[in-house]
Order: sequence, then C-alpha cells, then structure tokens
Amino acid sequence: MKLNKKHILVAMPLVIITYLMVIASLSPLRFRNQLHQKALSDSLFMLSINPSFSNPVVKPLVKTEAFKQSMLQLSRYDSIGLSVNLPDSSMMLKLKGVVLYESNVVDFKIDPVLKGLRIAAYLNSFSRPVQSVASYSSFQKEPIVVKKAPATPEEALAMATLPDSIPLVPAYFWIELDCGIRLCVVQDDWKGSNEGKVRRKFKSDLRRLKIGNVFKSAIHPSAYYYTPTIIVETNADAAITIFRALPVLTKLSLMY
Amino acid sequence: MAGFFIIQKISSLKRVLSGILLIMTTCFAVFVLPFWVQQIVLFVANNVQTERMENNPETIEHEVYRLNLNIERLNKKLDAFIPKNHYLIVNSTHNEFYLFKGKELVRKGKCSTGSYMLLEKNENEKWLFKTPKGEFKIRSKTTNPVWKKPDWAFIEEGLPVPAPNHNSRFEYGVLGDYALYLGQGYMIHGTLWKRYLGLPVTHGCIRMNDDDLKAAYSKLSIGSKVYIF
Repeated sequence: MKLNKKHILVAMPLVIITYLMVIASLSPLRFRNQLHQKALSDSLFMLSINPSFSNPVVKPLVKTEAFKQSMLQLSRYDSIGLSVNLPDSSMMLKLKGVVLYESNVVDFKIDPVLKGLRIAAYLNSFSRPVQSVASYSSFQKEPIVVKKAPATPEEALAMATLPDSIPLVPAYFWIELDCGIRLCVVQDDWKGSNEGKVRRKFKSDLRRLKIGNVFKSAIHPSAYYYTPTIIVETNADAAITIFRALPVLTKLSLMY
Repeated sequence: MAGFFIIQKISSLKRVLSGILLIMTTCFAVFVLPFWVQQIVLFVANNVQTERMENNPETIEHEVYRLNLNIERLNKKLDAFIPKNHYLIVNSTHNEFYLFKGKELVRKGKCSTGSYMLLEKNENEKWLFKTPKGEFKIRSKTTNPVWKKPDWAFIEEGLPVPAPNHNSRFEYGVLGDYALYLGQGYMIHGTLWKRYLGLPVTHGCIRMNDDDLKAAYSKLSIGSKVYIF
C-alpha cells in the first residue's frame, strides 16, 4: 500500500494522541515508583518496616504514629506550621506545639497515586514534616494598603477613612510541597456569582497545570512531570486565616 | 438555479460542521482522553498492586498493642509543649483573642490588630502597620501607661515631627488602664475607640476592651507566652 498525504495527515494526530496517552499514564506510575524506590533505598528505614504494617487493622495506627512523630518534629520549629489530619477531618495551625487555630475539613479528594502508595513509601514521605516550596492564593496574603503621608492636618482629615473589616473573598490556595505533592485548600460553599467565577478559575488553573505537566513530560520524556493533588474543602474564613498565618516557606504534617 | 445555491450552501455548511467536529474531537483527544486513560491505568494499578501482608493474629495483636503504646507516648510528648500557665492567642485575621490556661479556654473576645497600612512619607521613610506573627513573651507590665508618640504618629496627622522628648510626644490615658509589653515597641493595651474592636485598625499593637485587658493583665505574668497568627 502506498502512503499518501492523506494517510500521513490521519496517522500523525493518532500517533501524537497515543503518545500523550502513554505519557499521561506513565507519569503518575513513575512518580509513585520514585517514592517507592526512595523508601527502598533507605536500608535503615526499611529495617523498621514490618509486613504487618499493611494489615488493615494495623495500617491506620501506623499512619497515626507517623503523623504524631511528624507533629512532634513540627513542634520543634519556631514558625507557624500546618497539620492536616484528613481521617479526623481537621486542619490546625500550630506553633511550638500549641494549637493556634483549628478548622473542620468538610470534604477532601486524594489523588489516586497517593491512595495507592505502599505503606513504606507513605511512612518515608510523611513521618516527618514536609516543606512547602511554592504557593498560590486567590486572595492577598498581606492586604497592604498604601497611604501617602499628608502634608497638613487638613489633608490628613480629608484622607481619613472609616476602618473596615477584611472582606471575605472567594478563597482558595495551594501549596506545593518538596515531596512533589500539591495541597489545595478550597472554600466549601460557593454562593455568589463572583464566587462561581473564582471556582471556575480554580478548576481551570488545576486543569491547566495538569495539561502543562503532560506536555512537559511529552517534550522531556526522561524527566516526567506529575504533581499529585490533595484537595481539601473548608470554610472560606478558615482558608483565609490559615494561608495568611503561614510563613511563605512553611512546614506541614500530613495524614490521609 | 435556486436549488443549485441551496445544494452549495448545504455542502459548505457540512464542511464547516465537519471542521468544528474535527476540532472538538482533537481537543477531546488531546486535553481529556489522556487523563481518562491516566485514571483508568491508576485504578487498575491500585487494584493490581499487591503488598506483602502479615495476617498472623498474634503478630497483629502485638503490633496493635505496641503502636497504641507509642501513640500514647507521643501524645504525652506533644502535650508537654502546651504551657501550663496562662497564655494568649491572637488571631490577627479575625481580630479575636483567646486566653488559655493549659488546654482550657478561659476567656475569648474581640481585639484590634495592625491595619496593614503602609504609610509613605518619601522613598526612605515608610512604616508598615502590621502586627508581627509568632511566639512572644510578656516582657513587662504597667498600669496607667503613657504613650510616647513615635515619628509616624505626627507624620500620619500631617504635623511636624517634634524633638525626641518634646512634651507633645506624651499622651496620657489613650492606652487604657494597663499595658503589657511584647518587645520591639509592640504592646497589648486598651483603647478609647472601642467601636473599632474586631477591626484591623492599629499601628501594630493589640488593643482590647477594658474588661478583657484587665483579665489579661491579671492572668498573664511576665514571661507568659503570647502567640500571634
């Protein structure tokens, strides 16, 4: 059979799409494998792993123990940290072991890659605090208002404004962690039309990042890009309070 | 003639529709299909993967016992971080305070914290009115505090800045009956502007109403912790 232009035009997109599908499927598996390999390569750590840890009765206790160990380390840092306990549906701001603020997790969604993580890889990743490397939010971290100094008392009087509370804006933020995971905290109720817009923006931002990762992996197949995401829903107040309280580079204890 | 034009229109419409269909299929294939396949592969991988598991009841029982003991031990270590005496937590986002003794909430109420206003006089003279976050200690306590107005208090009012110890710098009665010093010029004090409590209006200090301030003054001693977030 002779190949003509038409055949090539049909085959090209098919090849590209198949390639994208292969890349999209392999990236998360490779990410997970990397976490498994990281755990396996730590021979001292692997000595502490017991086959009974995978037992469904023991597993939650092992995870709780790891979380407590992580919180204990978090308590030794002198800046505000976040502890997220998804089985208990709670998020806490902590400073030197003192709970500064607690908020309820209304709902959460865990990436399937993290759900399928073996217990050794889980413990290796989460039995100590994870460090944030970048963050993004739909609201200002510090709502700074610039005011020019008045030249005269009359000008000062004219510039005087009544103080107002910080407006409650549609709130979401995410934190990229050094272990390659993204933690998204989103407000749970979206009522106003502006909030609808922000929610759509949140979803499209996440989609854009996911698609971007696939294309980056397609261009550089040896270096794969995949960022498993944990989406946590809480009330808007809590999302704003937590993000504003956290330092730019913060530490987190995570349990799921 | 008219029939010919209709047939031509239909065929061009067909071309447009098939073009749109092609674009939509390509978008679906590029932007959606890979993620569906990804989810299917992950679902299969999660269900296929096996982990060596110990099911011996005696071993499991022993592990559960050991882990529970460890968790209890870790809980005790975590509890040891909580101050035994009174301490204050200030939420600067919602302008609220919480007075604790150990794990017990003794009092809570509204306060005022930094306004996040950046006052600019010129390129070199700028002041950001924000309450610092972190762990602080009560460094000293005083009754009937006098406010020594810093330079920005005059600049903010459009007044000339007087000499460092000029009489006009000292204001009596504006800080309430008590003040607790946190260091670096920050204080917990009272206010004449009680209707602004609960709002971010201060120059960085923490303002409370008279009763709350009295309670904080009596419960918190020098060295007591203040956590601001």
